[in-house]
Amino acid sequence: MIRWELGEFKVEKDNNVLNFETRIMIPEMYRLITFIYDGQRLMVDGSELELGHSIYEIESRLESLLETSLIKVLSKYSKIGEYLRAFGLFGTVSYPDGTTANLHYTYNDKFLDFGSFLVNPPDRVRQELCKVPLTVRTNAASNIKSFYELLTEICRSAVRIDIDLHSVNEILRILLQRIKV
Amino acid sequence: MATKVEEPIYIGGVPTHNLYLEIYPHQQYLYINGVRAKELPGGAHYQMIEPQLFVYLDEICLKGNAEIFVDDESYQPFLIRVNGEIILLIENFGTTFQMDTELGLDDVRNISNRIERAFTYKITPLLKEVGLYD
Repeated sequence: MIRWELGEFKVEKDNNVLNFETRIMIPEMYRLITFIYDGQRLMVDGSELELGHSIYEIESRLESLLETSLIKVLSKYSKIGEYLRAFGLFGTVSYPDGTTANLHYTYNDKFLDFGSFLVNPPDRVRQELCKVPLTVRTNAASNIKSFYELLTEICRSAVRIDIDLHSVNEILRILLQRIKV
Repeated sequence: MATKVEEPIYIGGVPTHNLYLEIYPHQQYLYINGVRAKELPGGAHYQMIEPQLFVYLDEICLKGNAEIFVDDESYQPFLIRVNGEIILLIENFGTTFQMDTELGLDDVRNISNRIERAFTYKITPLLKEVGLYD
């Protein structure tokens, strides 16, 4: 498979509708590919892409990303019924030995983001997550004590984050295979 | 360190409930609202705890010339400077907290736990003994 770089990855469930968008760059072809899923159709650069049965695997993986432990933690801080949950990778930077990114989690009006750290290759995430300097932002904490509790939750979630990043890579692999890049 | 006491301390003859406790580098003295503790009424009591207080504060200091600012309620650090350089900063912008640090989260949490334990189990009980903490 040709070398590709992740630009951005975002999945959300807004009022129970699953949406997904990702941008992938192919440096050798100077090509930027945008995939958008609106809950019914998957579009690639504006044209519909037929995925056959693969759509079920992608949907299942996207749903799983929205069930991740840090979104569950955020849900404890939101006092209203669920209308939005989201997960994304942004601020990606590619280096010869991998890609760094910020991770962003949303539940209703509460968010948590942190980074940047190595997200690809994903098998090094678990070891590095709590060893490297991170910038952490959140509006879920009401004071310093609850902010520290969230830091603990990030470290507790290292294994799950690792699994989620594998899932992101798998989704991208399926999509790129499908358009024969 | 800011504290609030029910039984006032008389500073310059004025009953004072809101206290600010300070120590300075290379001075083994405790200052209360800018006045050396032993010069205040009841100062002998404050002077008695000074040696132990300095031992406890030394325990939480990092290597080098460290300045640690802790949250008044949780005793968890929100600013750490070592040799003048900020290595941890947690700021509050409206409803958003942001942390920037030179440390990994494991180190941040270890330092925070150490400081919190020292304040909760050693420093504040000692201050309570002489009426400098309620």
